Amino acid sequence: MPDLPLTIRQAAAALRSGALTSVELTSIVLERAQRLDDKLGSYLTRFDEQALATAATADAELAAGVDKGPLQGIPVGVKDILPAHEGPTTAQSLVLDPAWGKDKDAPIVRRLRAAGAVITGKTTTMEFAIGMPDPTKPFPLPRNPWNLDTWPGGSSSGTGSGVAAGFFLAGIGTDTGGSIRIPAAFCGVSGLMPTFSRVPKSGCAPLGYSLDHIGPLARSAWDCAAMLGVLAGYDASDPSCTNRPVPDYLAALAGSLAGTRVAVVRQDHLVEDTAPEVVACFEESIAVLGDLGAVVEEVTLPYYQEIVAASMVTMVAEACAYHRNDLASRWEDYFRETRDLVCWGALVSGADYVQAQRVRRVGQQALAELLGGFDVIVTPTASVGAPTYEAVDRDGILGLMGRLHTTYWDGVGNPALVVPIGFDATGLPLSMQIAGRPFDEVSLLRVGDAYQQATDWHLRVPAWAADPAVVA
Amino acid sequence: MTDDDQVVRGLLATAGFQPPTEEIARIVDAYPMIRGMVDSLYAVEAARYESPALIFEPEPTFADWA
Repeated sequence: MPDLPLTIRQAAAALRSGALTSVELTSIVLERAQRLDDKLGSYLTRFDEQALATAATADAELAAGVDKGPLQGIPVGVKDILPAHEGPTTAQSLVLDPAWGKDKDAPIVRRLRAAGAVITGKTTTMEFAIGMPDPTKPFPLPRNPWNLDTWPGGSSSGTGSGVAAGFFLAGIGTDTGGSIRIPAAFCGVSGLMPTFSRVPKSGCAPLGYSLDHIGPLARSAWDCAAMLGVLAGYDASDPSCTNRPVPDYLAALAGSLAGTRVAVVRQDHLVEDTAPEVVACFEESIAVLGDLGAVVEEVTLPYYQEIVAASMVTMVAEACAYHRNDLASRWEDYFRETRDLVCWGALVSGADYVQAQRVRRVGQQALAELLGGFDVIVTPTASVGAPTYEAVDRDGILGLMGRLHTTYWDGVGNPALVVPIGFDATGLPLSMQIAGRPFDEVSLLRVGDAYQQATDWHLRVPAWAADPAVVA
Repeated sequence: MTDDDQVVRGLLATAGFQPPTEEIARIVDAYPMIRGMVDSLYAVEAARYESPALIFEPEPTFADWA
């Protein structure tokens, strides 16, 4: 059996050189999932037979000279709040009507297929992309491949853990308050939340209509760029989707950061109980960016706490509108943390919701002024590594809220990329967040890619998931 | 029963939600934090004359994703 490439970039080259076929690649990742996923809980459903058939088609097309781009023949997992016609969509919930999305593909799934990607299955999530796991419900408990006693982050848990464990080379996540970036950070991979409206979100079970983003998790910024090039673009079925042209993201990755203006945020992010390794790794990463030619200056984010508050009010109000009738009639069928959080929407008024939307506008305006002087803004993604399940059970999501630094960017709608930057004392991954101007994903990806050309944190593989097929 | 307890129970009941007692206690505990977040929104002076980030389209496109 050939060696397994870690990245889309490596695999795409191997598929075109003849060193590897998509059927071989897909067989390796499916066999690995078959062997390890009972412990990891990355998948809700696998599509082995259909995936191998798609892989065979990709091989035949490549052999015939039909090149559909870098995702052709690449195994990709899809978060189970997005329909794919091979199997059911559950949102990891007893509540979602099984008829919803049955035999359908969400628009972004259709785009992946058109690009030749191999959909390997549906990945675990927090119920309806909110809350925490509930072991009393009949779904897999997602675990972190770096330490099985820890949470992989959420809500795109299975996509993050699956990329880290080599169950697929990339996957789809969604992000309303950090659900792409948190699992990417805790699992030691890269993740991109694109600008709001850059990727159509129709066909996705909603959490917060004005906050939901669909985006990729993968090992590298280069791989995220390849994924975004396929996912981005107008679709009339999403009323908020932009019809702006889609840039060639891969062509923009230059390697140099000469003259790039980088704003660094420490206030509100390096908080009192921040793990010392987070501070050290973050500062080392800033130094790397400086060595690559970036001009670095410290700033504070305008209206930070207010935008986080506006995002929370918006999310619970929008989620409560969607779930109210089901919550009223099927309270016990929801996960405990889901019902706890979504019912908060009943505790805020219509006026509170509108005020949150006014504050979001204020924040957007102030942030646009700040970004007039910078290309990107970098922050720690979280002040801690992945928490243990013991801590999660004890403290719930509220215990983590002040230590996760993702929600602000959902509130303003700007894009944000996260990349691994090292490990804490217990061997858990740490992460840096790179945010930027609306629709300027190119700048984020350029900074992330340059950083990853100078470091190898994104190529580290958890020992538990490593085997002789892994090329480290 | 505290004021927060009464308010939370009333709002949950108005929405038709019927959590068990121990879950109501958790929601009541979180309520001051939620109201604190809401109150912080009204303290943003720059929002006084700002329009909300809401758009109503008089002629929307209706396209089915499926």
